[in-house]
Amino acid sequence: MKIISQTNRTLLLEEFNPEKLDLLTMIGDVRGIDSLSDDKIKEINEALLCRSYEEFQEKFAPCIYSFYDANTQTVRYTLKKPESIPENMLTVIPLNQQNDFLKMLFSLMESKKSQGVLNVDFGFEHLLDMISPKKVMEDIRQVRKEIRYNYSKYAALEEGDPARLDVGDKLNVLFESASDNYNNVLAMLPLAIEDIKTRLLLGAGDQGINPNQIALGMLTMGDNGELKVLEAPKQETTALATIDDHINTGLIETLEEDYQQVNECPTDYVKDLVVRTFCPLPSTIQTQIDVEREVANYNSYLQFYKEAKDGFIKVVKPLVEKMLGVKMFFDQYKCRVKGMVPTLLVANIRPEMLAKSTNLPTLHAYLNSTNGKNNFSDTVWYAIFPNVSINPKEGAKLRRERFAGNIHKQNEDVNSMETLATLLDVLKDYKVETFFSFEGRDDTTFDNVAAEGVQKYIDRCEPLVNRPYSEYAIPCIPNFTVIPKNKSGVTLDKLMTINDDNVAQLSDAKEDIMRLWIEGVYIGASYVAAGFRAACQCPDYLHDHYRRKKYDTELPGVRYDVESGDHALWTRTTMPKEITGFTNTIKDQINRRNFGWVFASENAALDGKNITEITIYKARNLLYDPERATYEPAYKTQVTTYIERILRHATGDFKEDRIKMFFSNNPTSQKSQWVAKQDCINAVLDEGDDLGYSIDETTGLCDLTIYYDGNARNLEVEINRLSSKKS
Amino acid sequence: MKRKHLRLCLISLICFLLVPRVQAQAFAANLPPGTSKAIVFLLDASNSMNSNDREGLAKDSIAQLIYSLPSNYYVGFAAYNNSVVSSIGMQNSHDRELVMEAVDSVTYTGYTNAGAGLTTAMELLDTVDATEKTVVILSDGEIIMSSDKATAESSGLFQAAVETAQAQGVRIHVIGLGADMEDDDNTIFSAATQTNGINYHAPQSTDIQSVIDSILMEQLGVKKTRAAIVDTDGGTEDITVNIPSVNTSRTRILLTSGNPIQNLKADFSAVNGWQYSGTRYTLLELDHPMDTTVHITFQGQAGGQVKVDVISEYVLTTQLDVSYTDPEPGLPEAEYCERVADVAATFFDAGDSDRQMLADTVFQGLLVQVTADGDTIPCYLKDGAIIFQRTVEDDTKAAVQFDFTKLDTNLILEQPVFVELEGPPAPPKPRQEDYRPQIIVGSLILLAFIAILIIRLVSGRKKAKAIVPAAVAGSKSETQVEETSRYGYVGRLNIYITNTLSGHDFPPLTYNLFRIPGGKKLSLQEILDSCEVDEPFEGADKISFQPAAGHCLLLTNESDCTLMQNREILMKGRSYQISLNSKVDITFEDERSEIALQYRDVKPSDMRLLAGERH
Repeated sequence: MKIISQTNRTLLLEEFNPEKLDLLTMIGDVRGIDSLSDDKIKEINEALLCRSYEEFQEKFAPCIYSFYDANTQTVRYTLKKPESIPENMLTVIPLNQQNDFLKMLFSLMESKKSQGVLNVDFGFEHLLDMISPKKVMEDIRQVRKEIRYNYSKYAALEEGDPARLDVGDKLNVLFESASDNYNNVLAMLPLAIEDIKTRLLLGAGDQGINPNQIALGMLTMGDNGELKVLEAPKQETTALATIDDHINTGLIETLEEDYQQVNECPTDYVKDLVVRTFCPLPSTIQTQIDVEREVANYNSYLQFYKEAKDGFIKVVKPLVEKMLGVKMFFDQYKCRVKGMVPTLLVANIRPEMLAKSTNLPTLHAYLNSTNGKNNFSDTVWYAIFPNVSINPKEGAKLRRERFAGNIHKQNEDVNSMETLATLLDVLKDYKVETFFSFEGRDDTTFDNVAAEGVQKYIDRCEPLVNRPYSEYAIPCIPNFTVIPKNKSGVTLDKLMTINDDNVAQLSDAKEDIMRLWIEGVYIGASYVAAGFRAACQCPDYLHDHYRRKKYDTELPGVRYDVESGDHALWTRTTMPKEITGFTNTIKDQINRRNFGWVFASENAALDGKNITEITIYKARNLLYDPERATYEPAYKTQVTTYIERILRHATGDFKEDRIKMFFSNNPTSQKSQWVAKQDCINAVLDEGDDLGYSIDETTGLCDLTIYYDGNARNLEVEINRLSSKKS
Repeated sequence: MKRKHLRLCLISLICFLLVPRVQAQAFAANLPPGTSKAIVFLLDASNSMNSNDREGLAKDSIAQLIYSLPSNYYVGFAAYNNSVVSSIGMQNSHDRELVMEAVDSVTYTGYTNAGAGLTTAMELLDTVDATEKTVVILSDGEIIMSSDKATAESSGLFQAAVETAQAQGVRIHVIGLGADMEDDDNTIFSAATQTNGINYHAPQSTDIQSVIDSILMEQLGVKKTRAAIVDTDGGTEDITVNIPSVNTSRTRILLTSGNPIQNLKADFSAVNGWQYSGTRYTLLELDHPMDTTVHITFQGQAGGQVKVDVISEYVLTTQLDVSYTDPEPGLPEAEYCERVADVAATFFDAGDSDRQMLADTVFQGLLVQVTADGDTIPCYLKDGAIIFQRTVEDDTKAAVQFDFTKLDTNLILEQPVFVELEGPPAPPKPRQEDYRPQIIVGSLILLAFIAILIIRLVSGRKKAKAIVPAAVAGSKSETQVEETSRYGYVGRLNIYITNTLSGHDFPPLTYNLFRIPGGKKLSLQEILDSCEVDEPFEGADKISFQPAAGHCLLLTNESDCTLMQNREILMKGRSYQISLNSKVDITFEDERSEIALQYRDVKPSDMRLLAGERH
C-alpha cells in the first residue's frame, strides 16, 4: 500500500480576491478545539484547493474595481472593493485570459520562451503594444470573423437540426465573451477609438495616402480601349465594406437585442459602436459623420484611455504579478503522464493578517488537522511566502534633485521579515518547508544579482539563521523579469488633428504620441522554486526527464537532489534564460557557504543541445552547519520528514518492537525495501545513504540517524512504550 | 618547534610574537583523583614514510592531538623502524613539550618493526595508573623486516602485545596512511579490531589532520567547538574568538591549516598563557582566562584555510548538600516517616575551593543525566547547581554519577561521588490519652463537613450540567493539587493573546518551560509578567502550572475564568493534565480577554537555540 500518496501540496500565503472565501474565515472559531473535522477540511479543499491555473482563476476570479470620479473627471481603480460606493457605481473588471494586460503578459512570456533569447535581445515593445487600441481591435476582428462564420452556418441550417444546436452553443460562447465588455465603457473605448479612426482615416495607412485624395471608383476600359478608373456613385456612409445580405441583418438584430438586454442603461451611441465593432458595416446603416466632433471625441477618448490604462496598470500590477506567479507554479509541472500533480492551497489572506496572535491558533488548528495525522492525503508539505521586503540601499547621500530621478520609496504592499518569522515558527511545528522570495523590483532580478552579488540577501536572511525553524526556511533568489523596467514603454496611438481641407489626420508631433510606462513586471522566485520542487516530487515527472534511468512508480522524489551531478540540466524550470550568466566571482560568493535556492541563467549544453531555460544552481535552506561552514541542502529536511512520517505510520506511532522490525535486515522491512530501490532516480535512500537507529532504554528515546552520502542527520522520536512488549 | 610562555596577573593585555623561547610551564593542575587517562602515540618511522609523508605532516598532526587533550591525560610516544628508535615515557600535561621534542627528532628510515613498537607502547602505559588507556598507531604499511624470520618474530610480538592490550582493556586505534593501507585486512589494522578500537584510512598525509579530529572527538570524547574557518589571502587575518565562559580552568585555542601559519599575535586576559607553534598549527593555551574574547592576528598563505578550534576545560570538585523532608507516613501503623532527600550538587574549581563553577548563563538549563545508585534522573543545571530527589528508607551511601555529555566542554571531576543519606526518623508516637472529647468534637465536624459536601456536590452538579454538556466521562486526568512536583518541566508554552480589554495587539509569545528548574509551581500571571505583557488578565494569578509525569503539565484552575480543552470545560478547583502538543483556551474573568495556550515539545537540538532567547 502506498502510505504517502502526495508530498507536494503547497500553501500559498497571499491574498487574491478579498471578496472570496479565505482560509481563516473557513476555519472559523477554534476555541476549545485542537483540530478540524473531516467535513471542514473537505469544504476548505473545495473552496481553496487548486490543481491548475484555470481552476485557480475560476475559484478566485481575481478582479479589480473601478469607479468614476466626477470631480477630477477620471477613472479610479482599487483592488479592494470600496465599501462606501454603491454597487451600481462600481465596475468589476475581471482579470481573466480576456483581459488585454494579462493576455499581453502571457503572450510575452510564451514568445520569450519560444524564442529563447535573453532580455537584452528581446523586442519587448512589439508585444507591449498589445494593449494599444489597435491591437485590441485586431483581436476583436478575429472574434468578429468567427461570429460571422458561425452565424452564417447557424442561419443556413434548418431549425431542429442537431448540428444547428452545436453551432448555437459555439455562438453562445462567442456572444458571452463579446458581451463581457458591453457594460464597461472603458472596455469599449479602444473599440470607439479604432472605430473613429477607421471611419475618418479611410484608405490611410499602407501607402500613406492622404484620405482627402480618395474617391472610390471602378476600373473600366474606355471607348478607345484606354484604362480608366471611373468614380463610383457616392454613398452616404464611409462603411468598411458593403456586405449586404440577410446574414448581416440577422446578426445586427441579434447584437442589438443582446446589448439592450445585457446593458442596464443602453445608449444609442454605444449600441451602434457594438454593432459596428462586432459586425462589418453594411450599407443598411446610414451614418452622417461630423468630422470635428468625431476628432474631438477621438482625442478625448485616447487621452482618457491612456490615463485609465496608466491607472489600471499601476493598481493591477501587484495582483497580476501574483497571478503570474501562480501560473508559473503550475507551469513547472510539464509531464506527459500526470501522476502526483502539484496542488496549491490558496490561503487568500494577507500573511500579516494570518500572523496576528488572534489568528495563529486558527492556523495551528488547520495544520494540526492536515499534518498531525497518520493520513497524508491532505498534508501540506510546502508553503510559498512571496514579496518579502528588501530595504532599499540606505546611506545614499542627500543631494539636490537637478533632474527627475527615481523615488526610492519603501514599497508598502510587501510582507515583513517579522511576519515571515512568526509564520515560520508555526509552520515548522508541522514540518512545512517555506519558500520565500523578496519583493519584485529591479534590484532583486538576475541583472542585479549578476552585478551586485548575493551578500544583501545573506544579510537580510541573517535573523532567520540559527533558529529552530531555519531548516524550514528556503530563501529563493533572484526574481524573474517579465518586462524589464527600462523597456516598459508602450505607445498607444497618436492624437488626431484636422487639416486645412477639413480632413482628419494623425498628428506626428512628439507631444501628441500617447505613451505609458509599465515600470517592470516581475515574478517572485518562490513561486517557481516551489513549483519546481513540487513537480520533482512526482515519479512520472522524474521518469519523463530520465528516460534511461530506473524509477519506481510509487516513491515520491523527496530525495531528488537537483544539485547533484547533472540533475540541474536534466530537470529545469520552464522559465526562459534572462542574462548571459553570473560572473565567477559571484558564483564563488554563492558557493562559499552554499547560500539559498538560487536560479541560474547559465550557458550550458546537454546531449549536444543548448539549454535555453533557467536552471537551479543551489537548493539550500537556512540550516547552517558550522562544522562544514555550509547551509544544508533542502532535500534533507523533506527526506527526514518523510521517513519520520512513514516510520510513525508503519510502527503504529513508534512502538518499540515495530521500530526494530522497520530497520531489520528482513527483506520485507521498510528499510530493506528502500535499500533495494537505491538505483532508482526517485530512491528514498540513494546510493551512499544509510539509515540507523539506537534506542536509549533509560530515556525511552529512539535516535534515528540518516546518513546522506555520509553526512549524518539526527532525528529523535519518543518510543510508545504503553503497548510495546517491554513495557 | 617554537614555544612561548607568558605569565599574567589579573587583567593584562599581551601580544604574542613568534620568538623561539623556552621556559618552564608553571602550571600545577589540581587534578581530582581517579580522573587520569593515558594515551601513547606510536609512529611508524620506516623508510616508506618518506614517500607517504614527504612534508612531515604526521608530526604536526601528532602535535595537534597531544595539545588538544585535556589536562587529565598522560601522553607517551614511541617511534619504530628496525627497532624502537625514539620513545618517551608518560608525561603529564605540563611536560607535553618533551613529547613533541621526541616526535621532532624522528627521521624516516629502515624497516617496519611494529611488534617492537607496540610492545614498547604497552610498557609505557604500564607505568601509569589511569582509568582509560589508549594507543594510537600511525603506519603506512605491513610489518616488514630484513628477513622472513625477523618479520615473523615482529608479527608474533605484535600479536602478543595486542592480546595484552585486549586483556588490560587498552583500546588501539589505527591510522593507515597511503595506498598500501587501503585494505582493512592486515596485521596492523587487526589490532584495532581485536581491542574494540577503530581503523581509519588517510589516503594522503594531508588527511591525517581530519582523522586525528575524529579520534579526538568521537573516540576520546574531547569536546571542541569550531570557532571559525578563515579563508586566508596571504595578508594579515584578524579574528576574534569567543570563549564560552570566563570561568574555565583552562582554554586551548588551536589553529590548524594545510599551509604554514605565521606571525601570530594574540590579545587576551588570563592568569597565564602559553603558545606552541608548528609549521601548520599553533596552540594558544590560557590558564583561567578572564575575558571571553581573544583577538588573534596571523598571516596565512593565499588560498589557504585556517580552522580555529576552542577546547575549554574545567577541573572540578563536587560538593553535595542534602536536606530532608519528612512527611507523616500515609499508614498509621508505619514505623518510619516517608523521607525524601533533596540532594544539591554544586561544583567548585579544583584549585580554588571558593570559586563556584558552571554557574554561567551558557550552562543555564542544560540537561545533565544524574545516575544515583543505578537510577537515571534527568536534571537541568540552574545557577550552577543540580538538584534531584531520592526517597530514603534506610541509612545508606549512594553513588552519584553525572553525565555531562550534553555540555560542549571538557569536565574533569572525580566520579562517582558518594553521599551519605540518613534513614527516616520514626513518626511522633501518639500519647495514650482519653480521646472521647476529641472523638465527639471530631464526629460533629465530620458531620458538618459531610453536609457541606453534599450541598456543594448538588449545586456543583447543577453548574456542571449547565456548562459542560459534553464533558468526557470519568475525567481521569483530574488529580489533587500538589505544591511541589518531583518532575521537571519540559517543552515550552506558545501564548497567543487573542483578545484584550484594551484592544491592543500582542505578538505571539513563547515561554520556555524547560528552562525552569525543578517542580516549581508557576502561575499564568507570573508567566505573562516574565513575557512583559502589561495588560490585565483577571484571574491569571489563580491559574497555575506544574510539571507532571509523562512530560505532561498539570494545570490547576482556582479562578472563575473559562478554560476549555478539547471542547471540555476545565472546572474550578481542579487540576488537569495537559499533554504535549495540546491547547487550552482561556476566557478571563472580565469575560473579554482571551488567551490560547499551546504546550509544545522542544527537541534537544533546539534547546540550545532557544536557551539563548529571552522568554
